[in-house]
Amino acid sequence: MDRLCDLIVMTVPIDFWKSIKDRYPLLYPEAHSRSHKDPLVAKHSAEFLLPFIRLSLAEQVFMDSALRASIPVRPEWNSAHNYQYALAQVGQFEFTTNSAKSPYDAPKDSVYRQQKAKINQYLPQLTMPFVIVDRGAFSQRIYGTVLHCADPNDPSRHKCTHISFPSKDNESWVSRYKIEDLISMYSIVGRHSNQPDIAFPKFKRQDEKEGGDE
Amino acid sequence: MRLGSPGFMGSRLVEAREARGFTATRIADLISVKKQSVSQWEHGQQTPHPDHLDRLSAVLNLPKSFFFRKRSPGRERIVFYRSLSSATKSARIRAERRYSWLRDIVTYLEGFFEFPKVSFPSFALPREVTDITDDSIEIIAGECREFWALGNDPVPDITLLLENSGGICSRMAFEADTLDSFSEWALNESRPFFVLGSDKGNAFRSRMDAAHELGHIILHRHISKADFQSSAKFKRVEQQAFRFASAFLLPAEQFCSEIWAPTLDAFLALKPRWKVAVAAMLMRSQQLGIVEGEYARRLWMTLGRYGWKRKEPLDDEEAVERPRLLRRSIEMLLTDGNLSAAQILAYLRLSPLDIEEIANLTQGTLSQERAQVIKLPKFIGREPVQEFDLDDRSNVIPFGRNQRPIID
Repeated sequence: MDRLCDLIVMTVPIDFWKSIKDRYPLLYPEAHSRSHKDPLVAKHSAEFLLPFIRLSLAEQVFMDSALRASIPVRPEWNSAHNYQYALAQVGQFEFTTNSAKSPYDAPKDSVYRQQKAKINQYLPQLTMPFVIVDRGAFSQRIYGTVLHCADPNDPSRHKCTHISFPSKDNESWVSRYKIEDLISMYSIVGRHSNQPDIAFPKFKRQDEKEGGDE
Repeated sequence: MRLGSPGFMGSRLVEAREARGFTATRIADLISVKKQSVSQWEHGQQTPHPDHLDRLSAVLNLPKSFFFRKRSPGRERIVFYRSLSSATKSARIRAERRYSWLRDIVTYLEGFFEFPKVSFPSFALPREVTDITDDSIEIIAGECREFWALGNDPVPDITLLLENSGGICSRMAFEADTLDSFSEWALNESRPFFVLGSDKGNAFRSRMDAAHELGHIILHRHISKADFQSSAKFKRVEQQAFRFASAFLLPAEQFCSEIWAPTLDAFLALKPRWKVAVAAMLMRSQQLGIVEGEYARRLWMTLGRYGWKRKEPLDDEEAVERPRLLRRSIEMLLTDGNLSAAQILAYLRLSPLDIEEIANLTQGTLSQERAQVIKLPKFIGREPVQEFDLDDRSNVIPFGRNQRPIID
């Protein structure tokens, strides 16, 4: 297991990932139903609406999951000031949620994500012990996205969710984990040293009893 | 002939008075006698009248029998304190008196129990305490972690670690801001003692205190009384114990790898995991060269401006570690040892509240168990009438738990 995964496990409550893993698959049929089963919406419009409905449902689930895991979350304007992303900040990480065509594709390029992902160029150094990079880079948090994508054969079905750390140009990934793999890592990484409780007195045998100092 | 209290031990009166933080004048005022009388009782020139003894017992909240118990022979003690300033002197005396009660309780319990085997690592250290370098302390702290197989992760419970290793821990109120904890492990004694303050109720600070005392036990067991009295050496000894505590609680490699930014926010985010105060993490970061110079000075100023020197965020979120060994021992005596609270109290001759505090028992374990008063049969004519008032509670302690009164 790499250091980045180790840091995520130590910092981010597992409940956050569990909630997302359980609830993201549900929002795909829900979004499809809302866009395609409204008799007042034409089919070609429904196709157009679907990603927007999915986006807003995903943002809501993302915020709710963060709050349930006691992670501070707030909407933050993008650089064009025309959309607010839900931004969860925990320890040295911050996360948004985005969709992509496949788990190997990056989300749509945006100035907002590029700015956020600048720090990720230092990721290999940030996760290495005893290496200090310049203080300017330190003022930011490591940026990750909770990336979800639909089944290419059936857009009403969820295919997978990944935790991805985009490169600074937003065209590739510095690191990426399947959410199921990440959750299983929590059982591997001990958050604390193992410490048994053996602080128990044992009765002396009857013939050894001294009975105090008097 | 003047009525006194034969067998009264003046030294016990001094002990009780100092344990309660009273002066002789204050005691004299409280029991309405002259100061000279108290002085004469303390020096063994006279013994108090039984009425005065009753009042002493009430004022000092100790059973009368306490004042008649012989003291075990005294010995030179080297107890590690954070500060030897005059401001802490009375607090130290008070704490030491209560510490001697802790020792009495442990001696009593050792008559019944085997405590966990003592297993603290020992190191070949320079004879001169000032020759122990910071680098060697870092290595020793790491080897201690290795000795106890703690790896590089946070230690969940320092008090449990000390007790698992055969140390005796107690948490008690010192009623002094300048006294946080102290420890002792004399060369001729089998196990170390750690006394932690309960006054501040801050789990993070208390863990640092416990690790600091562990540092003294590991690094300074061989220290001489003369070393201890030199103020320059005393200061160095304290610095060494603090360095050990920092290195033990925050192992360099792992801690460095988790700091993503040398900022107060980053330290605060790591606080729940490492269970160490932000100020201590900042200090550790300075030790490791992560922050230095002007930047470190600004962080300390910011910490002060936030008011975190007095109280940090999350300070109330973590429960203070509670020693278990003595509590478990007394609870076992009461449940499996066939002893009653009355029998334990009668032997130790201390107030139940004091024993409960020193042994970290749940309040009421000894103080609420009162002997059931069984009124002896009254004879009305030739017919004996037996009266039992089950609701009547009193301080009278006539019988053990499993014993029945014999009524002829």
